[in-house]
Amino acid sequence: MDSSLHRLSKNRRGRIFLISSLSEKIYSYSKLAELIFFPSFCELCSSLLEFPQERVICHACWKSIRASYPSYCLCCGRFFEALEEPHHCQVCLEKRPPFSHHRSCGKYKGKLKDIILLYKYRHFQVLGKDLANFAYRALGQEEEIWWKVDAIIPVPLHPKRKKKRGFNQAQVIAKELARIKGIELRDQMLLKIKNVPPQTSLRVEERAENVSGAFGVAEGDKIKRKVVLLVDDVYTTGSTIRECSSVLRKAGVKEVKALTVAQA
Amino acid sequence: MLFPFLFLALSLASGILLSSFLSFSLLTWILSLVTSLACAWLFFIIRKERHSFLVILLSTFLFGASLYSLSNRNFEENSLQRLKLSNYADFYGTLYKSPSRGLDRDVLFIKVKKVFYENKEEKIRGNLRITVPHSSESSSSLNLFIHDKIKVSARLLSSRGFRNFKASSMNAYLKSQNIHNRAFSKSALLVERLESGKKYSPLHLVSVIRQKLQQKIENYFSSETSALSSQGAVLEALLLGERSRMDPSITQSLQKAGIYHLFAISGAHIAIISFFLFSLLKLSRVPTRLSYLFVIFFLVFYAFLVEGRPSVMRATIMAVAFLLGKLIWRNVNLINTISISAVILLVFNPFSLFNVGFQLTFAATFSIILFFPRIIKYFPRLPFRISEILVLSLTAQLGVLPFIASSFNRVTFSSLILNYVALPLVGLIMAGGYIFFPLSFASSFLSQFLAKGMESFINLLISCSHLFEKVSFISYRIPTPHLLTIIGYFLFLLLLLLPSKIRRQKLVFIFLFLVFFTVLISYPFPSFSKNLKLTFIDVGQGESILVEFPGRKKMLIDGGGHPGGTFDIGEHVVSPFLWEKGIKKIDYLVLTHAHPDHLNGLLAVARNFKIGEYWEAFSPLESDPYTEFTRSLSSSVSRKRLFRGYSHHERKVRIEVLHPDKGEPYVYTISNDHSLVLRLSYNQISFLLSGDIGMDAEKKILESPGQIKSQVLKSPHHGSLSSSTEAFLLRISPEIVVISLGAGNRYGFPDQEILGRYKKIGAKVFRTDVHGAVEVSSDGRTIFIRTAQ
Repeated sequence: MDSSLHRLSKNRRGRIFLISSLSEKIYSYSKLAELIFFPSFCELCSSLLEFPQERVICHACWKSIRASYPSYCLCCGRFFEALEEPHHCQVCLEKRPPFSHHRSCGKYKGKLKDIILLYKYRHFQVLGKDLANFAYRALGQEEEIWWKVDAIIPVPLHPKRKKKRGFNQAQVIAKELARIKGIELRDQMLLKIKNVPPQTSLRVEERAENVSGAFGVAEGDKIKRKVVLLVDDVYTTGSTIRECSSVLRKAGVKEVKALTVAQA
Repeated sequence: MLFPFLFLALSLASGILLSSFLSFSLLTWILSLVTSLACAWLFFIIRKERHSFLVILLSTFLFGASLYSLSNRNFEENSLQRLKLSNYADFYGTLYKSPSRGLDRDVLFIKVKKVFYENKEEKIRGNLRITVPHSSESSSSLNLFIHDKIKVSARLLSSRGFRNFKASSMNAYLKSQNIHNRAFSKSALLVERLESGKKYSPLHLVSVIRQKLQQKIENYFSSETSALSSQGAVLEALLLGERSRMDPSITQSLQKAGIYHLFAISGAHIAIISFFLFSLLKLSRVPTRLSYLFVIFFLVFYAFLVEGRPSVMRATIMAVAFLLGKLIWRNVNLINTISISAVILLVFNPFSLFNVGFQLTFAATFSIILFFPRIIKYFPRLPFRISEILVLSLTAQLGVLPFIASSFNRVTFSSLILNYVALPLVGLIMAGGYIFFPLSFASSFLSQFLAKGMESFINLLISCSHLFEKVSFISYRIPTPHLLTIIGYFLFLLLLLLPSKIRRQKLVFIFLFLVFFTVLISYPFPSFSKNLKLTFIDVGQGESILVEFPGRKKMLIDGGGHPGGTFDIGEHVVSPFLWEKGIKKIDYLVLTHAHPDHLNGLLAVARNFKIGEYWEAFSPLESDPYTEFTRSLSSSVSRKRLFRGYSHHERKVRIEVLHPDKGEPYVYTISNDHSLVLRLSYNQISFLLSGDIGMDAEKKILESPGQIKSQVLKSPHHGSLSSSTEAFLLRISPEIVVISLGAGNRYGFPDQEILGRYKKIGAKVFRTDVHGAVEVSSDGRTIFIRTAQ
């Protein structure tokens, strides 16, 4: 911004400052109007939302979520209870998953769980952006995830389910992440072709069976020999991510990485 | 803070209210407003936010006061308001509202630019309401829309109204609508369109659509005698908010049954419309948030289409604020939202605080918001939302009860039951209507079918309300409640909301509230008078006299009335006057003779008050209003036919009948000489109430034996030349003569010669056309006189 300003004449520079300071003023007044027209409260802790960027959930609640876990599996990203150095877990050592790396931002419990529930089931679509920002704050600098990623792909929803919810929770997060990192979003590539019951309604051992054959790839040649990042909201057994990764791998993708907001 | 706007709305409203009582100059208010704003800013600078907010509240209060003061000055000093013209003049101006259609008239609302009269032109600005009559069989021939420039030849109406010791409600109503004057034009031929409004201005477009829809209703709902059947009028009222074409008897029945509120387009309508739109949009797969936007646009369009009364504006603003809040992911607090709409409406027009519609819609909605969640807890979950509808009606009723009692002198509980039938019916009719409108443009065959169906629903609704109007204890009229009663009622109702801190606090408040509630719905105060008091009520051309005997007994002699015409003097002038005095029962209802200017007003009185005895002399054999009147007297009323020689004592007051004689030759129609003449004597003071007698009857009274000398004479026959003979006046030798007549009446009353005669015998003359209502009272020795003007 500053460097580009230097190239402008003094006159125009003044005008731009004026406009930007004016729009800032207007913005802050509109915030004030919002405060008295629609005084709103955090859905979790019921405190007044007084900062401009706050939507539905207050800053304090976001900050109270523990985002970094020092101990996790280097491959599948599962958190370890004990305080140890990150290392490969038993499962990954025995059989390498179809993806190279996976990381979750936090544990699917407490406030993070409440927020995801609000997001998915109470139609607070706007929380998607905040969740993406949360994910960026937690894992945005982790090189092993972002290194050489060519495209971001959200885990798809079946069109029927999407219509019912109004939006694809993974796609909203992925879109915002793609915007922040400046990476291409490819949300029409991976498709859900079978409308299977939601994973949350099944027991652990049924989940892998449930999603098998549920996904398909369109325009596969565009991602051949590319590195992609899969994005989803919750990682429980990893069946969905695994299935998506293997479908993508079969379509010719060189490497699949994965990022989920929360891990159960 | 949950609802910052509530405080703003309250202080704005109280500022307006205070300013309407105090007549400080505008400058005073504005100066104090500026000072307080400066204070608020100072406090904000030194970071005392709490103080700052309090001072901002004060500023809002002062802002309301200045706003009222400013609007009031603009209104009172408006040149159109002060314009006095007795002849026809040409008014040039622009329509600012679609013409309102009545049964036999159109009403135009124009922003006047200039007036042309007596060959000179004058620039005058103001809002004028012009009535243009047409025959009731045909539809209006006027085809005017908003923003059309027109020229109308019209005569200004006197805006004095009826002056009966209280501000005229008509003037207050006009003020609340910001209408500066009223005028009358004889025919639609005198209205000329000079220039059509801009084709694509949105308001003009909406006005055109409105008229198209009205035409559609007329096409499918017409009867043999009029352009629009009474069912069609009900539909028009429900869908487009045009209530003036409704059959007066249906309106009355709906008011009596307590479901007239459904005909004020408000929250219920907006809810039904939004529900339909959302369902429609969902079916057509429009994303939810886009459909919010769509509904907002449609609601705003609809508010303009029905040309916002306060209720629809309130509901629309609330709905739009609600949807906007959802759209930007904010919580929506209903109390805050309703306060926003109050502030917007008041800033737009501070007079609307005194508009009954405004008061009713806000009282009902506030009450529902505050009490519905608290009361519904105590009700069981029943199918078909039985509990919810009951509690909804109950809480709305809680809020509006005092307003309905003081503005309409009515207490009604039937809506609690009737809402179960009326709400779904109205919902169905409206749903039908919204399908009917687009359908009528597509297929006339199907719409005919639909129209028939809606007609039967409307008939069902009307017959339901007829059924309930018979039950008198759930809907009755009462005298105007005292201000203290209303204050106590709301005070304890609101105190119930406080969290319980002291033991039995709730119980005590509930008890106190119930006390005020009972007082409000029963009006237990007797109307007591020490002196004998006669009030000659200002009923325009006609006559109506209230006699208050020492003690509690009341007598009403005649009720005024217009021959023909739609304005009911009895309902809108005589009854309110009696209610204002706290009268519930008329012990003696007297009809001097069955002419319209004495009889017509009594119909409403017989309907609205308890009657003890009914006195008359001769009755006509066949006369429409008379038979209707005797039918509306309940059978328990004892009817007396009085002739000369009858006398009766009411405490110390002696009532004698001087005329007519029983042997009077009887003819089929009643003439003025058949009038009942009464003489009231209280110690040394006598009153002669002479009806409409002419010289023949006067002669007969003179020939009969007995004392007729009286200090107070009611001038016979409104001061006509055919009465008040010199011999008669000499025998009575009155000190005071009261003439009851209307200003500018077409009979030329009072006759100048008669006035001269009164002057000659040295009597002081009081006239209802000059002085307004005249109150003459006496303690038996002295006479006191008070006039409304």
